[in-house]
Amino acid sequence: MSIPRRYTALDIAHLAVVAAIAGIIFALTWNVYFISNAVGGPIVARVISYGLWFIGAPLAATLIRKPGSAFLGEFLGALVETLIPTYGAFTNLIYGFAQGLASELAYALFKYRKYDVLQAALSGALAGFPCVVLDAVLFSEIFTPDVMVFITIAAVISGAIYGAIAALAVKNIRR
Amino acid sequence: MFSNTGKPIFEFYGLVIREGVLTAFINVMLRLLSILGATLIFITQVNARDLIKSLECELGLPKTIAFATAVGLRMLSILERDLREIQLVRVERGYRRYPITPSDIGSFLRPLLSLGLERALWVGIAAELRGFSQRTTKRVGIKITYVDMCVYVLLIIQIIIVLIS
Repeated sequence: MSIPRRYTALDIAHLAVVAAIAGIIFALTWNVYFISNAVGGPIVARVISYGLWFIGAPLAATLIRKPGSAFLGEFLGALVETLIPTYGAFTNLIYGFAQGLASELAYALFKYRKYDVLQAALSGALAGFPCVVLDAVLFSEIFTPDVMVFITIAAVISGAIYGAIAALAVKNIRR
Repeated sequence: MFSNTGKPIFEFYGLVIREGVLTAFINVMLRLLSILGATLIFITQVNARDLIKSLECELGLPKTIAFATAVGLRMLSILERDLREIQLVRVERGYRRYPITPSDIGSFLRPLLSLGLERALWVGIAAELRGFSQRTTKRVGIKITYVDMCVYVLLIIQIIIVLIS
């Protein structure tokens, strides 16, 4: 069965809704990050908040189910967040681009034939890697090697959890 | 926690705040504020819709992204209103106003998505009926003015100074 690739106006409108919702979630997550970082440190902050910044991709992909939807969901959400604006400002676009590409990989691995909870969790998890790298490069968040490993694991786990939540939320909507 | 090194500055019920924490805090905050300040200056000078239009016409941004961003920005205020209604209903049913657990986030996402998708359906149908798929973008060439040239020259000088020093 051929995979539909052409985006209709309806798909783009859905993408717009996801971008708006993701942009709001991304903007609100800064407060969650700062509070959890102050209370629990960088590892706890990443477990609690980072997955929320990766939620645009699995949300869009589970809804639209076309190649490129994960990347567009994450990138457009970051674009909306940039225009709101929030603390990260233009750096949000760089994060959105990198995380979107990583999330898209999760669906590409299954040849864009499956958009289930597993794929959504994987897409959220994969977005953790570029995020940690960009934190180190852009914001000098570099710690000792063992702490960096824990931080990466925390980001990956958080992404997987919130990716699964996003997929379940979309599947449970009565349409 | 990881920057709490150096001379102690403040003690609060056994929790010791050292100068390392203050230095790290000031460092991060100044960096964030400078990025935020630059963005705020940009955002206040530019209308978001004009920005998207110029990105599409001058820089060749695909109409998919331009349309999705424009509709998304328009929906922000509507979704914000929906979010407040969801919070109100949750409080009236005896639940938390703000999501704390992952299941709370799911219970916020489901009605937001449901309402948003309903609107997206009609926006999509309206756009298609107005010939969105047949729409072609009129490309406009980028015009560089004297002021643009001055800004580019200053940026290049700044980069050269950074590389030299």
